[in-house]
Amino acid sequence: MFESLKALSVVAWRSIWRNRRRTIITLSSIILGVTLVMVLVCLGEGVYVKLVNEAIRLQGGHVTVMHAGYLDAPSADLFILNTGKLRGRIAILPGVERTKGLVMGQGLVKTATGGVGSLVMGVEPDAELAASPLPGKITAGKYLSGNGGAQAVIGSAMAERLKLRVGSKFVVAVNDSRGEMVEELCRVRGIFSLGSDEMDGYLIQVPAGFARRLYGLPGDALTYLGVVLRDGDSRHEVARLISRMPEAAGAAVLPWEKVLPDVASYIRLDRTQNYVFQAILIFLVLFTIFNTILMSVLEREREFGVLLALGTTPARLRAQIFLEALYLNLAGVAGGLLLGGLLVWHYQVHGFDISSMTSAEMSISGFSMDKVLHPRLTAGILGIVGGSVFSATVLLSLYPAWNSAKIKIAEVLR
Amino acid sequence: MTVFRQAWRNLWRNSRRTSITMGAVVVSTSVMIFTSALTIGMVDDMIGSITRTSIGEVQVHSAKYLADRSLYRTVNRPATIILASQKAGAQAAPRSYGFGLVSCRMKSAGAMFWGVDPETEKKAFDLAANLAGGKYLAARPARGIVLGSRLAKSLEAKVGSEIVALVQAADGSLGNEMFRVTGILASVGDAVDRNAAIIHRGDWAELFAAEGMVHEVAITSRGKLSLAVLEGAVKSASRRQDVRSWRQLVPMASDMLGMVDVMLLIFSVVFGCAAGLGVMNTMLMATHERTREFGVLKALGTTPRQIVRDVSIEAAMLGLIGAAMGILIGAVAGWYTQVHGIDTSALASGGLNVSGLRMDPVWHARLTAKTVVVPPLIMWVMCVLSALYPAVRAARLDPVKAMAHV
Amino acid sequence: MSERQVVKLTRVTKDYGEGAGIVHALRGIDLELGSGDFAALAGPSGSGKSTLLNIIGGLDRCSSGSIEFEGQAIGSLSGGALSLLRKERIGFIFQAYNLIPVLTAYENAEYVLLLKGVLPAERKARISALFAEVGLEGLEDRFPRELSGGQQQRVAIVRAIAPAPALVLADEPTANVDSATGGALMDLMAKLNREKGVTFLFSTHDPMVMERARRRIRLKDGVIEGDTR
Repeated sequence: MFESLKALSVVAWRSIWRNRRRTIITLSSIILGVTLVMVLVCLGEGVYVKLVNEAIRLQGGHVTVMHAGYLDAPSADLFILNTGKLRGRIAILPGVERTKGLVMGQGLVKTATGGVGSLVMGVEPDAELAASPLPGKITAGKYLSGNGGAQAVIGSAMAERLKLRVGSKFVVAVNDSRGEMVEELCRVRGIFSLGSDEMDGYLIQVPAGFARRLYGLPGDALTYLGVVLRDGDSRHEVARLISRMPEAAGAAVLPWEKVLPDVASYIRLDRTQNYVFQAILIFLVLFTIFNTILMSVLEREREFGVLLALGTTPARLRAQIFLEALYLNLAGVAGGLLLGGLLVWHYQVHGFDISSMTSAEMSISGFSMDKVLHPRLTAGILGIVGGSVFSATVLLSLYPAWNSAKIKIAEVLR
Repeated sequence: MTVFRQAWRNLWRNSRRTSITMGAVVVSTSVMIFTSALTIGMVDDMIGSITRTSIGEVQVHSAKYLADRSLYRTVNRPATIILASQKAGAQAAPRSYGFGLVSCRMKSAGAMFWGVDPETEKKAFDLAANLAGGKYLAARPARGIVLGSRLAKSLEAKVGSEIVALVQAADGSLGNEMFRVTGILASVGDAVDRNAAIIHRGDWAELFAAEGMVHEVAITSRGKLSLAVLEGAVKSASRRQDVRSWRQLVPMASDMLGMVDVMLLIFSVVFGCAAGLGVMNTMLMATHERTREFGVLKALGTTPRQIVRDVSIEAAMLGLIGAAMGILIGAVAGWYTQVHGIDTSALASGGLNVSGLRMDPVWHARLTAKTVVVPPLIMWVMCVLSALYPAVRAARLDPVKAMAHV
Repeated sequence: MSERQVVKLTRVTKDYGEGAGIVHALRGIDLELGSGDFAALAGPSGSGKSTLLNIIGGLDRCSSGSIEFEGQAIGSLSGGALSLLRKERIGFIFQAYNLIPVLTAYENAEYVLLLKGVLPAERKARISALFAEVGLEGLEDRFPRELSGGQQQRVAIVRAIAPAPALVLADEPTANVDSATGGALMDLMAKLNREKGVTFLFSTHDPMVMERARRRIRLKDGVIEGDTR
């Protein structure tokens, strides 16, 4: 019995290679499709991961603790207090890289030439130096240092608009937490260029202490207590742990998706668009396979007639055809995953440089995008791409396999 | 005529084989048409979101305005420009811009005040209709104000809220007026969301103590005119002022589009290959299978030339019918998507911004003559070529060899 | 050689198509085949030879009448039962395209034995012996395209008789080979019939086959016109 199964699989395998050219064309089709899908998916994932990483390190980390009402109506007077103890407890949680505190509010940056609305972000310079990409994007002057001081780093677009240079002074005017208008003088310590007009024209960073003075906030108040994780996937677990801490009672503990909904949305939308195109591509590939197998069944009607005449059961014949399709699929999908995997691995190491395709900077919801893309390959992607294409082809093979035994023996043998 | 009738009958002698082959052409063609229409629609939507929302296709400013946005750099003779644009078949909206502070109860924020002509804006641009709540400005100055979505949020302002505007007026004095929110914009783009405070031109003139100041003329033909033509018409009326197309105004968006174009081209080529391979493979098999038949024909005296000719005609007919059906299906699918769109808004909150391009969660396809004609043509050519190759080979074979072919 | 009845047909008819285009391929056939028969079914094209052969072999069903195979009525057997019957009791040799192209001569020959679950050792014994008898020694590992027409038919013969069937049906076995080869094939089959008692029924219009047959059944327009021994 086992033997006859072995014989069946031998016949199936050999039957595929009888028409070498056709099989090669079909295999190429599958390999092309699978490879492309893999490369695209991995490129996309790589972009998303990088984007998320940049965005959250610039802002509130993977998990952010904030006043419960802040997200609905952001305002400087909604903050959390007594953050010291909470930070200590969070810092020792597994997987936490560090915490970073932010004090944020709206403001007006005024010079003799004019005024620009801006987001005033009070930061802890050493936390930023360790965790945020911004200090690395300083193009003139230096980053912030110390915790007090009326110093700021501003974006290149803002500097241009207001004709500010390193060392220039400007006035920052805000509505403080009591609703009163407060103005303070400030000096430009450095100019950064993040690569997006929005950020570079709108964001200024000052030391947290200065921001608290500006908005009239108590000593350890924070707008955001950001938690940067080593592995972003653990954020939901970490968020849960934090929300159970007594020091976090009454505050909102949110994963980055809630804090940066635009980034999350972009990723979802882009993923969907990609999926649609990939699905269309796979559909075409599947259709080719389907056609090929159907055709080959049609070609070999006589051969099947002989087999059935000799006493082969229809089930056995169907099994043979199904096996043939299976082998074809396996070879194609495996080949595609291999080729795709190699390509992705190569680009993962060397980077995929698209700066030749576009000259200007790219940004998504204000966060800039690097022009050297690094695709990201995970076992999950391999599994999903390989698995879905394979199962689809298997399902498709059922129809021709079923049909193979439906011939009228006497007719085909004529 | 009989040659065609013969070809037709030949095709249907083996209806299963013909159906399968035709099926390949139909599917490939329709998928290609639909995908092309979808991608063109996407790009169109992206361009539209820029030019039709509020930027327009061409803008005119005073020579140095864009560098420092100074209140005093105004457009010279805006009326002439507007007239010229209208003559060319486009709409033109004059705008004034000035910076200041808006407050609503306890909250305040910096804002850019747009002085607009509501009727023109409504006719020419989509922004006026893109409201999350309330209504756009009235035709006459009435101290109404429309706020950007994020601006309204940070001010905690709603429709009907009172807004205090504080600005540095043109004569150096402090301008101070009260407005009432008539409408709040839906999310349109970061800059507008965060900064836009739109008021009637008349109110703007009062606020800034500046009558008749125009800082920008935004012109659009809503896709009717080519950019070159429009630019030309506007330039001749603008006399050495700064005339820019949207591509120059938002180069990031323009470049992003360029990238999207390249990506879509790559996709199209890949799809084309996959589809073409499908047709080719099927056609090769179908013709190859008939080698024996050709051998018999040769033995009966048919010349190789006749065989190749007959096969070509059959393939051409098959391809034609398949392509026609493919066009039908592809066009219907494309048309449906053009009118109804694919709604993915369940996945994304509105207002996504990529380099200034707004991504619409509802996808629309757009059928053009090119999308409906080019893919079927390519598939048809593939079909005929793929039949020719094995036919020519078989026609050259020794009849006995051909007939013994298994 | 006992005259056991292998096949009995009673008033068998076969019609194709319907209405105005109906074709009466067989119009009432009464026929008995005994064990050990070496019979040829002869007649011009269109006389119904292949049809009759197909029906006897369970590859097709008759429109009316009864068919008994080794005493068992097969007219009402299901498709699966017929398939089983063929596997166990009937061997087929076709005019052409007998062999599975992707299997070697040996693998083709042992195919039915494999289906029946005969053990490898036993299979090898039987096939090797038969290969020797029909003169195919050394060609076991050749693929059909590497064999001549005559060699292919010999492989088909081995395949047909290896499972020791009650009946071997051969549809125009010499049609695609030259007369010398055809003669050799016929001698071979005659020898197998004599020595092993295998029952053969040929359909043919080759006079050379007719000559060698011990019983000649003449078919014309769907009826038996003559049955001579």
